[in-house]
Amino acid sequence: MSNPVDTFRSEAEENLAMLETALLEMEANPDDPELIALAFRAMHTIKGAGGMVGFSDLSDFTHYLESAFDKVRNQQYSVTAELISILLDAKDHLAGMLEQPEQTPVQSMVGQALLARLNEIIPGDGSSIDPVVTSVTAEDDGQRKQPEKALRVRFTPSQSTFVDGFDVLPILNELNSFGTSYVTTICKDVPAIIELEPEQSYLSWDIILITDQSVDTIKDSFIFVSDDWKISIEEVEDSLLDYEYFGHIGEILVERGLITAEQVDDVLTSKPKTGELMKESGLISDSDVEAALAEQKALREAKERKAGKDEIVRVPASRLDALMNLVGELVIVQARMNQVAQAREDEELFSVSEELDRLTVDLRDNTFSIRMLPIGSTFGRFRRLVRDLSRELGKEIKLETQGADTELDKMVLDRMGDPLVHLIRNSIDHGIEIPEARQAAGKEKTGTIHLSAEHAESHVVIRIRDDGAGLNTSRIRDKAIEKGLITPDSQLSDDEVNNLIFEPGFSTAQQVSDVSGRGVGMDVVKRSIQELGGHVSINSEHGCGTTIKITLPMTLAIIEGLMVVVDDEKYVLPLSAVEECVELLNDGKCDANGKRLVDIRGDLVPYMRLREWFHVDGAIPPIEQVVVTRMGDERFGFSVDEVIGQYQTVIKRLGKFYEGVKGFAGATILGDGNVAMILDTAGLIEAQETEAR
Amino acid sequence: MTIKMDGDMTIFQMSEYHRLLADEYQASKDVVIDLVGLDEIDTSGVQLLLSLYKQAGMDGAELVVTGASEQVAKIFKDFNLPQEFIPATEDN
Repeated sequence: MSNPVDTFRSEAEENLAMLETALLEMEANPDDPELIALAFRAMHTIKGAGGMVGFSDLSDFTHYLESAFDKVRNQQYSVTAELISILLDAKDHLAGMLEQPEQTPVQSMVGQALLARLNEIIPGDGSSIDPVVTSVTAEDDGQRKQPEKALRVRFTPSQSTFVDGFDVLPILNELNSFGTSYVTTICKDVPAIIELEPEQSYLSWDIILITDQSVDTIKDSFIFVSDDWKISIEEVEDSLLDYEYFGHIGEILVERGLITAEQVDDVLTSKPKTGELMKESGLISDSDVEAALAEQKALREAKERKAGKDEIVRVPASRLDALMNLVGELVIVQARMNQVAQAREDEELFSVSEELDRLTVDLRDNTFSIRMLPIGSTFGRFRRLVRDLSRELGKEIKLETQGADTELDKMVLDRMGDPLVHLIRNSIDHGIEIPEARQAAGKEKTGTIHLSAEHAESHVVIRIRDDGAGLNTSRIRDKAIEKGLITPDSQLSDDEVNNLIFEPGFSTAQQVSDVSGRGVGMDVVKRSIQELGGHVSINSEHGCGTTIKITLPMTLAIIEGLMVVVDDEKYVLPLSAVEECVELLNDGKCDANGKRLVDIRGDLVPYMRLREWFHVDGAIPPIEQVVVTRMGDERFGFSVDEVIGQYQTVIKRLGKFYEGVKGFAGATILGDGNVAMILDTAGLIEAQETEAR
Repeated sequence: MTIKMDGDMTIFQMSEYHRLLADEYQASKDVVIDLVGLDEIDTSGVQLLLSLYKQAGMDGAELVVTGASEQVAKIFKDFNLPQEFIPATEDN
């Protein structure tokens, strides 16, 4: 991502998200100084970075926000609900302004209106409210907005410096104002009092300065003394900012002139634990060691702070995908090599292959972990949704979240965004009642939506629970009958009825006609989740609330599969869906509709013959195998010629041409170079049912 | 032996203070420097005290610096001098 504008955009988006989170949390804790500081920092960063890349309108707008908010930070004004509302709108406005550097006339009007609203609450300083007057302070900020680095500033004042009227203290203060400084005053040249020339300077300084300022700026601090003082300012490389280099305790003590290097050496030759030993030898006191240790710690902290900042690298998602693809290829080649080794019975090749296998698995796991993102990164957006929508509907709702650090593959997370929004929207809209109704029902006035995520084996379970009115089961039943989804005499449990809302065709006409394209029905939610290899179920108690449970695989790129054979064709079924394999001795039974049924320990389970479904010719073997899969509470079998066994499957997308084909989750390349289709069990079941009707 | 520092301890008074401290030290090795009356100190002043500290260290004598105002103590801290050398403030 070399384009600075792109970098700015993605950083600004992050900062806007941070701002939004801070503002939303401020609603509950309006006086939290940390939240206020966080919001302020986000504005400040956007302003500075925006100015640098030529987004001057955006930078100016943020400048007014920042100036106003600075007064909140200085406690001149307090955080009010109105202020939060304005700032949230301003955040949305900023998000819009990220599109292009020059704002449209409409944007400019919206911006002015926002600033006018802001001005009513927090009056600006005279002209500063007029957005047309734009002295771009962003440039100054731009210079300051360099990454932090460590500078080593060493200087020895001239002997006559005190007499010349230059003191060191103001310089130390100035250096400290540029960042964080760790000062070492070197006193080793100060003579004992009898030999001291009191007006002469014997001291020197060695300072580590962590700052975002340039070396030149630091040099300017010494402008009046640069001719007479010995000054060196250099950037410290990461490898050198090591406490062993700078902070070695003996060295610190020597530098300070408290002990000599020879003394350290003497002690050191009698073995380590420098501080302890020197203390014992009486050269230095406890407090000297303490001070030196404190410095050692400060340096280590400085190093960690620096390290922490540098370790984050921005990488476009497409590169990660490419890496993942390559790892996938490698897994395939590895499998092939394994086969070759086995076929040749070559021990040496076999051992190399095993080693490669181990490395490949490590590489795969590592690559996976890079793609994993905490689900909490999407929670912020839901918070906003809950806030805005509940206000609009006159409801009081709080969103509780749990398990924000649960990790999911980025692609899964991206594709779960809209379904989750839809489900939460439903909870707000249809689940939680208006405050009066809640009070009448003896509940708390404020409704709660609880959003949680947790790991369960190789899956992630997301739950959305509300304490609202719950589903009206009898109404759903009526509607399902009306839509022809069930017959009036169907014997279904309440849960089964409730889950009908996920059926295609259940959605009301209103939802389908929603032009925005996002007002999707619950069937689309279910479909999106199934496409990700997950499933969804709903559990509701009338009057008490509804819980929606979504189970998702952690990743989409590789699955554990069960390989099966039909004639010469190999297929892979996702192992997570497979419950058991049974032998099918006779041709099985058929029910009244001609559906095939297999008897599994007394239960009749419907199944489909893959051979027929895929129109594979050839003789059916005398004994077929039925792979029984489970989707939620339902079981369904697939009959195949042979079950080969577990197979780690790298999923390849089928590409645009096959996008609409139902029943396939993708394809995989086998060790021998052949292609096997990965079956989408849910899709197959659905396709078969559609065909049967 | 307690030596009281009054007024300013800057380059302008340095020779005077140096003479005072050197003389007092030689008279009685263990000294307490009381900074209660001190208004201002500069780097040369700190250097003078450091020099005395060093001398005391060499002779095995005890030097106590005490009674610094917040402002004065801050200067010692800014220099990041050894903990022991940072004078106790007036309050404690």
